[in-house]
This record gives sequence, C-alpha cells and structure tokens, in this order.
Amino acid sequence: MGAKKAVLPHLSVQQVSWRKMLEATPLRNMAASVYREKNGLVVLTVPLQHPWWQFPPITWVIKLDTERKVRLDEIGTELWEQSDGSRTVEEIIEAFSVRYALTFHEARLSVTGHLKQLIQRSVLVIQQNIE
Amino acid sequence: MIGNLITVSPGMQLYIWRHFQIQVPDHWEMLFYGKNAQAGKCTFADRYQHRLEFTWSVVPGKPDFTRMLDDYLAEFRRDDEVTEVAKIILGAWSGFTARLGEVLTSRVGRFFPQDRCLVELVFLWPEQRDVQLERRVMESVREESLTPEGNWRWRAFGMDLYASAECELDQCTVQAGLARMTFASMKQRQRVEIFERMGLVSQWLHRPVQEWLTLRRPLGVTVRQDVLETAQEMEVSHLIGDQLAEGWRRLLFKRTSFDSRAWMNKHDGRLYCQTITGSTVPVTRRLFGWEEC
Repeated sequence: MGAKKAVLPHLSVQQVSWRKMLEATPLRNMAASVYREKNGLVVLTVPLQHPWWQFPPITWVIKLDTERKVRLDEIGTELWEQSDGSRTVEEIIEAFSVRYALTFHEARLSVTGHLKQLIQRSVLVIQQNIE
Repeated sequence: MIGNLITVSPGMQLYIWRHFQIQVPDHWEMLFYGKNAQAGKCTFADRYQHRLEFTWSVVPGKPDFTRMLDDYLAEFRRDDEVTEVAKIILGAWSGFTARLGEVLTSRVGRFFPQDRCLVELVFLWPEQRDVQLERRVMESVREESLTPEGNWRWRAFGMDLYASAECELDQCTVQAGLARMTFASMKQRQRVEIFERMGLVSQWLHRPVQEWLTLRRPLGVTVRQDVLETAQEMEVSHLIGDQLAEGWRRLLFKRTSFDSRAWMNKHDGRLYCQTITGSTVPVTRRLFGWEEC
C-alpha cells in the first residue's frame, strides 16, 4: 500500500463505555435445583417453560423436555457461587483477576464470556442498576 | 539483547507498537490494535471506557499542520454543538481540544520523519481534561530504533519481545489468558516467529512444560534436540528440530529449521512460548516477558 495524503484521520469520536454492564448484578435462577458433585462442581437442573401448544393430545406424540441439566466447570461453579446478588459484575471480575493473576480486561473477557453462557442456559439473570 | 534504556514515568507503563513507544497510565490497557504498518489504530481503555486512540499513517512528506488544523477547526466551528475549542501546541505536537456534545476530547498530531509517519492521539476525557497526563503521554511518544542485531522491539499484552526486522506482524490474537503475536517474512515463506503468553495455566496445563511443548509441535517436525536449560533464572524447555519445507521445496525434500522454547515465568505465573521457524542462523533471542524497562 502506498503513502496516503496527509490528513488527520477522523473528526468524530465515539465514547465507548461498558460501565453499565460492570455495575449490573448477576443473580441465580432460584427455580433451579442444585446438586454438588464430589469434586465440588455444581450441576443445576433448570425447569423449562412449557410452550402454549403443549397439551394433550400433542404431548402424547411430541415429548418435550421439562427441565435442562447444566453441569458447570470450575470457573462456571466459581461464578455461580459469587452470583448471590451481593456482588456486581465489576466486583466478580476484580476477584477473578486477583485469583488468576490476570489484568482487569483479560478477566473481563473471561468472566463476561462465561456469564453470557450461563445466562443463555437460564442459570443466571442480570439485574441492571437503574439509578 | 537488551533494549535501549527507557525511563518510564511513575504510574505509567510503556507500550511499543509499530516501532513507536508510548507511555500510558498503568491502569489503561490496549484493547484494539492495528497490524497494518502503513495505517492503523490502537485503542487504550481504562476499566470503564476508551480513553486514548493512537493512530498512524504513512504520508508522502511532512504535512502542513497549520493548514490542516485550521481546516479541522473550521469544520468544528461550523457545528453548534462544539464548544470549549482551544489550540494545543507542545514541541512538535499540535492540535486542539474541543467538546462535542458530552464528549470532551483532545486531538494532537505530529509528523515523524524517520518513518514518514503522521501520528494522531485522541484523548477522551470522561470528566475533565487532565493537561498533565496529556502532556506526559505526548512527550512519551518516540520512534523505536532497530537493534544492532536487526530486531524490532514490541511491547504489548504482557509481552516484551524482539522480532526480526525481516518479518512483519502477520497475526495477533488476544483472548482471555492468551496473547499471541505472529510475525512472518514476506520474502521467505518459511520464516515465522510466534510469541505466546498464556494465563489461567492451572486450568489447562496438567503435564510438565517439556512434555506439553513436545506434544504441541506441528505435524512433520522432527525433533533433533530436546533439552532443559536455565536462562534468566528460569527453567526453559527447548526443542530444536526441522520440518519439511513448504511449496515446491518440499518436492526436493528440503528441510527448514524449527526452534521452540517454553517456560513458566515465576514472577507472573504465565507460560511463555517462542517458536521460530525457517531461520538460517541459530536463534539467540532473549526470553521475553514484561520486563522492567
């Protein structure tokens, strides 16, 4: 690629912030039942909502799962334990970065990636601080 | 191979990217990066938001900064939302500060003749402008020199490394607990230098480093030497071997060198790995890490 004409590249700057996400609080799904394995890892059984069309005689033919089992790995278990409503995402990231000697943003990537998966599997929900 | 002594101000940390040094507050991290040496951008962020953009662009010659800034300011002044406009001049840097809506920014530019590179810094001030910090960052931007051994120094993502000037940054991967920079030669296809820094080691490394290094070698590598060395007070696993060359050279059963070293850094608990292939001379690179400058 050749040299370009000399112009300062851009005028508008986006103020990108993830502060709201850090201030949110993850909470456990209280409807899930918890089983702890011998190695300390947590297995959750999450009840699933029935779709509106699930009634006999359809259910005689189509059997839908009524619950989902989610087995958490070590990090998942740790995050689930910390998601008791007393800590914000930022505090969880902070603790994670200290425990695994990661920088804040390295820990943020890992923690938010795991939290996203746990939310998708209905293990956790996020409570946004509306103040 | 020890880099030039650079004084890092207290509370600041040094990054070296695309042959430019820059010092930013030690709680800022580089989140985005550009690989293209002709034009690109790196973004630094604090815990909550982006704070600094470092943009470079190779230009034909020294630009007319006065005209450029006047154009810039004229464009800004046309907009009613823009307030608090003031010029900034510091040494070879010139620019201005302005508030656009809720966003207060400082933008400064400077031409670096060695590389014919125009560098722009854009600071984002979420609360109020910190003139001292702005000045410290601007004063810290310098061109990095090639070492006598013909290597460029790079310092980012917890790695402080020297890559051969024959190679360009080809790939960069930054994930949770993994930073990997791959440098490849544009002229010599076999010549590749890979630097890796791995975290969360207790989660995935369940065997000795030497065994891990041997198992992860690419297919087709024949190990000629497998040794444990001590360097910089660290135990280093070292594999030396060769592999079949790529392309038409493979048909002639040509082989190319393979050199891989891995070590646990006792200071930060990370696993570091350096792999250099296709080198025609023995590799005598210093172990890389996040060293004091």
